[in-house]
Amino acid sequence: MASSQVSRLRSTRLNPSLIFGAALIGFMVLVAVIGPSLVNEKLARVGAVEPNLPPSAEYTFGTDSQGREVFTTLILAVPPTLRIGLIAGVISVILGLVLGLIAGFFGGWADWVIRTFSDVLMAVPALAFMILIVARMQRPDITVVAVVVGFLTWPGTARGIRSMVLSIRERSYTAIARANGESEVEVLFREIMPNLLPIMLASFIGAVTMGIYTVMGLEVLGLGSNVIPSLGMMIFWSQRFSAVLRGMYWWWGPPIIAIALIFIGLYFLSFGLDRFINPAIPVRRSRPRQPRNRSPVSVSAAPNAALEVKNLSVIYETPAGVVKAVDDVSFTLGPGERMGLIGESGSGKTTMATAIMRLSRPPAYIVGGQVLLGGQDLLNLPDRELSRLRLKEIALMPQAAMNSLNPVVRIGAQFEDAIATHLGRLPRKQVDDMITQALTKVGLKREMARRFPHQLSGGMKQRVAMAIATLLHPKVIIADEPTSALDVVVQQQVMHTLGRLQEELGAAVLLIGHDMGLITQFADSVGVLYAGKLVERGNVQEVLDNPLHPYTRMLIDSLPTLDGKRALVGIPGLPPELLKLPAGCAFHPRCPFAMDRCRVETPAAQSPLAGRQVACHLYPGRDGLPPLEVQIDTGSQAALAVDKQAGA
Amino acid sequence: MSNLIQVQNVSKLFGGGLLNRSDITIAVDQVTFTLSDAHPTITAIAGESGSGKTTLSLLMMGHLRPDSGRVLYRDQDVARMSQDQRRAMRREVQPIFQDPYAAYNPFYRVDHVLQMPIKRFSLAHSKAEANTLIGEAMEMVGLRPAETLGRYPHQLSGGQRQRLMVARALLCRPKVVMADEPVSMVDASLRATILASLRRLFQDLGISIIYITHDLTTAYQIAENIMIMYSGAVVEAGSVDQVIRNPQHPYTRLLISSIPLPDKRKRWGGQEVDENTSAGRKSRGCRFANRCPVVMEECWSEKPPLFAPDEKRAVACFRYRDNPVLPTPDVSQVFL
Repeated sequence: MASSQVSRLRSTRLNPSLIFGAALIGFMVLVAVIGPSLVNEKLARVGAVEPNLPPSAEYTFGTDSQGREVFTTLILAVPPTLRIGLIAGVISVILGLVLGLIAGFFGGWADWVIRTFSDVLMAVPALAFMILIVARMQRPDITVVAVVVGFLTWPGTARGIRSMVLSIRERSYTAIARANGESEVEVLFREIMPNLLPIMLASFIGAVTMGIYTVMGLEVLGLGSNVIPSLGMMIFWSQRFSAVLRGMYWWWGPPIIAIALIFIGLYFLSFGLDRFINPAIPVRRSRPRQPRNRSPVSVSAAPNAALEVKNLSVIYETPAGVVKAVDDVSFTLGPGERMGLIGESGSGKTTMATAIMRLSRPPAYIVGGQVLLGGQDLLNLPDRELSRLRLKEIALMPQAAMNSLNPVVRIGAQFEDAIATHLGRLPRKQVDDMITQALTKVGLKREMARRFPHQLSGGMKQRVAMAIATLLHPKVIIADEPTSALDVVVQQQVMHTLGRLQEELGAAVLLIGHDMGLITQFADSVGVLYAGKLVERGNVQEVLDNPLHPYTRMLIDSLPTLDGKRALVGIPGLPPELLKLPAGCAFHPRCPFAMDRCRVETPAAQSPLAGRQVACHLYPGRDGLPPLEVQIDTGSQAALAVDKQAGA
Repeated sequence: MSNLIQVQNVSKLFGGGLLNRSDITIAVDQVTFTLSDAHPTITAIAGESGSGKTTLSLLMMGHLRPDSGRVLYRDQDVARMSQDQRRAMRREVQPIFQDPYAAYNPFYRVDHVLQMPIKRFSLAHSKAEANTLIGEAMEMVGLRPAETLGRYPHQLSGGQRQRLMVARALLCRPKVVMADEPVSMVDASLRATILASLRRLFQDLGISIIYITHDLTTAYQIAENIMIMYSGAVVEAGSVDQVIRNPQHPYTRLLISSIPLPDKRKRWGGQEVDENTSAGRKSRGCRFANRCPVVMEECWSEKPPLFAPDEKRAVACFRYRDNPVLPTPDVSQVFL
């Protein structure tokens, strides 16, 4: 599913981790703010009460060996601990923000100085450094430690801010802001700063944690203030006076629990914040519901079919609800047939390719149908059987396959992996021969095997990916937009290679794409996907000459040609949102021929012409579309007029 | 003379540190052309990735400084403009980018990009007037304010986002719109509508458009003139009817024959991959020499000037050496 679709599906951003973390920290802050005014401070002084008493009605958490009441001491110890974190966090974030902004926004020598300085600081072992500082002080002042922690942790914040600023600067909205007349200062404060909030919050929590952690470490070593109680000092005192040995759990227990609560709260807060910032991190909610019919072999495959897809349905589970990305799709791919599958973003074409290979990953789930390959249902095979078939019988070239090559492994070794997985250990000579043969087939020299992916051009990498996919001579090749990142000349070369390979292997190819021209030139037949449904299928030239589905017709009409200038006519309206699919035929809001029936009843596939299939209520009863009422030759106004009519 | 933008013999180099002179790439190589104020046009700059077309547009907008040559805006050197002149130029030369999602700050509702230019360029005197302007601009690109405004960018479709960007550019009352691959990330069914709205800016409002693209079919449909770039230099220029329907430079021919047309009866040509051709040989002359099917010996050592085989065309190829050389290197003299 295209990213824009996914982002449209995001809705609930507040997650349990965030709420739990915030509640815990909120509670501790509340204790720190109002707690001290509710307790009698005198009870926390040495000798105020009788020592060594276990918890009782009078002294909730008992008393320590120095004659202090533990509960009162604990309440008074929370604010200094949190304050230390706060000081460290504020200093770290302010310094990090200012220096990170300067480094990222202005760059140049300022960037160099800041980066070098922060690298040096990052190499300083914080705790050891602190011990040195505190040990040299006459009267240890823990606030100084917090300040120093702030100074030591800003490089992390600054780095995060810097790289974020660099990435935002590259995004075109800052260029748009300048074009809108905003000054540099305004771009910085209005466009960049708000987007830094999440990372600042995360850095703040990190620095707070680091501050409390470091100070705790020092205090437990006895390098804290003996006057003001803090959680760390309470732990130090309790171990100094052998509270554990003496079984005084009420003394050492409460400060440890309090500090644990703070750390747990901070952890969940930053974890939840991460989820909040990157809602795309998949939340796995349930086990995949793969269909298991438990009826192994007895499936009726169409005779003489390389691949048969029957009633395939795939859903996405999103926080906003379940969407049908592939909806009851059926088609047959003959042996040696080249079929194109065309669809726009969100039409479900990539989801389908992945599902055919049974490679769907949550949140995508295959919920029904069969994928028949040589009489076996891929969706119903044991995992081991299936992985044996992949590459050997059916291979997928995923989108941007050239980027899936491992950058640190030589090309040859990437072939060896595939060979070892499927054929086991073979003699060196045989492996080399296979690699050479595979490379030659895609027009590459055998020397390429010794190169690394970055030494190859985009087209060469794509051909390597193709050679790996066809290494074991599969009978079906699924190529998902194999040339989408390539220039037109290289695209032609890569597709030519794929075509030659297909002929040599006699394999069937399913070419998935959005470019009607590419599919026309490569494929024999075409399937048109709209909102997860196969709306038309037939011989590619016949479909072009006489499209039966209104969507196909309008898609073809919107293609620019080189035959002569004509009005630019797009399809009015908007692509469907999978979460809010229209009732009946999903295309009806954009269709110029829509009838009442289309709004309520989903059209089933029919065959008004031999070798053709179409899912549209206009059929049966005719063998072509009625003429479109929109005038094609009235100039660009027509497109806009239609657009507004249909309510863009 | 009413020249809006003059690109005078501009070159731009990238890469190569202090110690590494060999890694320098020439992104733009001695390009000269003029965009007139009096005669608005749609000019396509076409080429593959790495041809320098985007770099050229950034030079024209003053976002990059040329390493040699000058870019003049209204006869003012863009590199030496005052703050005020630069602001005026910013408003008059409006960009539209490839990715209609990245063009919006995710922090704000889409209204932000429409209201900012009105405020910063003082285009309206009242809130009501501002809303009228926004409404008019949106109508021009076929969007309805009620369905579009008040939303966040991710709540709009790619097509809506890009059309809104056209409306934004329009609001600034520009002289030129620099559209860098404006439809390459938009679904096919919506491309035509966006291109139509760009064309309308030109037809109805007389705004010049620089259409930067790798797609010659859309260039042919929307533009009047075209410059084909290869490796930083203009290899062929002229009216789209001349250049695209009857290409002369071997590179232009290769580009056009590589386009897969949606008609099986039209052969898909292109170039055979052959690792053994002169691919490795370095050319000090024509940059296309190592890929050229009709390369001659002089191509390797000498850089071809722009020849004018007919009135509305310039070709940088020695195969046309019998024709007169273009009197000045300004390619816009062969434009309609």
